[in-house]
Amino acid sequence: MLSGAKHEWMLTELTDEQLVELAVSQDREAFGEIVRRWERKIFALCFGMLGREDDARDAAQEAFIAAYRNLANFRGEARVSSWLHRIAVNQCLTIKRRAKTRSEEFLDDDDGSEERVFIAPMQNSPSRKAEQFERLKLVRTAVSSLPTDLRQVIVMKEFEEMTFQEISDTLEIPLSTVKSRVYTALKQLRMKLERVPLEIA
Amino acid sequence: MLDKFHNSDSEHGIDLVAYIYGEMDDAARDRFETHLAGCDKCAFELGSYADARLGVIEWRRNDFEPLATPAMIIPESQPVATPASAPQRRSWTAWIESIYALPGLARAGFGLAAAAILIGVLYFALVPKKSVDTGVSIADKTSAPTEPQKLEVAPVPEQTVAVKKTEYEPGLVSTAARRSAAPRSNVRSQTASLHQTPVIRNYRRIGPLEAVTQKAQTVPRLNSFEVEEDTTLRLSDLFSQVDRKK
Repeated sequence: MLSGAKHEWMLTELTDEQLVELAVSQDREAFGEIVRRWERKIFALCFGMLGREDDARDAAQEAFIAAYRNLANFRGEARVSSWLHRIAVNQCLTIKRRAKTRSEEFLDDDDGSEERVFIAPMQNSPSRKAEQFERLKLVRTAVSSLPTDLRQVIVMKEFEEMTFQEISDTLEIPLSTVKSRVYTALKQLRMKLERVPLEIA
Repeated sequence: MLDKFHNSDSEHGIDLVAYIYGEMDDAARDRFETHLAGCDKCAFELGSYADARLGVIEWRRNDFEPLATPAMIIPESQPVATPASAPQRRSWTAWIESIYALPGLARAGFGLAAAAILIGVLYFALVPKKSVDTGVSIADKTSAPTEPQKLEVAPVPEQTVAVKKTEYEPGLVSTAARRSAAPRSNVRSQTASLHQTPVIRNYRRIGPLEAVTQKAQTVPRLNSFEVEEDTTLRLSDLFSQVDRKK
């Protein structure tokens, strides 16, 4: 029987598909490694769909719970990341539909803490904090390196929380130009930030 | 619909951004979400762009939100806008500020004009007026000529006759000088006797070279008691010496 540290080290060397196979054979640590690798991306996807951090956090957690429950159904036709993304998208759509009908069923649906052990087991570890610090530094550099016209619209959108129409009226530029600039700015940020993966804070 | 989402990068990007920020109309949002449920590529793309947006939010949360909003203090001495009927006198600082606010060329021109005026004032104030005496007597000088003293330039062939300075001594005034100074002799003699200054006699036209070489020390000055020894040999002096020997 391998020690915990050695076992964890071994898991980091495995592919996603190998981890799923281990997880199917009741290796919770293997599924924890899958969660560690993809929780940031899934959280970001949920945030992009729901627009709120709290909702996104809950949606991501529910997505991983749903994935753990359906591990046996994973056939390997697609990549594990694609499978997780699809689960997350469906989870978010479900939340949105429920929010539309004003249902409280999701909020009361709390099975327990057993599945939650997979969500960021070492959330406040020094290594995570160091990664978060590095990422923040990278974000600062990335944003300050944006051209002025792109940085301007990003700041107006995120700091002043203006709508696209308000930005268009303020800067006296077309609405499509505002959206195009935001898209270009996020594209440049995305290219710079994808070099530093990070788990959910 | 797939073509719309995958073929046109600009349209797809605009839709993506509008969706991420929740600014899409209901119909477009439903279409986008339906597509998203079946397209891994778009789901990945949405996740990565949303991740970039999250980075900006985290930056805002860490760097900006902890900052206390600075209190904007409006000083009491801030001037209150006055009605147009009451014109206010502008202070000199306001004038300077208005000049400074001028365009670059106008400001440069103003500066040059100011510099030229200053230089002119300083020149006339500090540079002593020099007058070169060209044989005009003190009487002429004291008559306060309205025109500045001019160096005589001979229109006729130059006569390089040195302007002589002599110490005023009664009785030694040459006849030529007496004759030339006859109309003014009273004034000149009175002036000379009063001040004992050298008198320039024998007014002659001299060339420009002579005029230039005559420095200020050759110009007789009022109230100047310096007597320079005149070593010029004159015919009258010779005659007087001869007379004495006799």
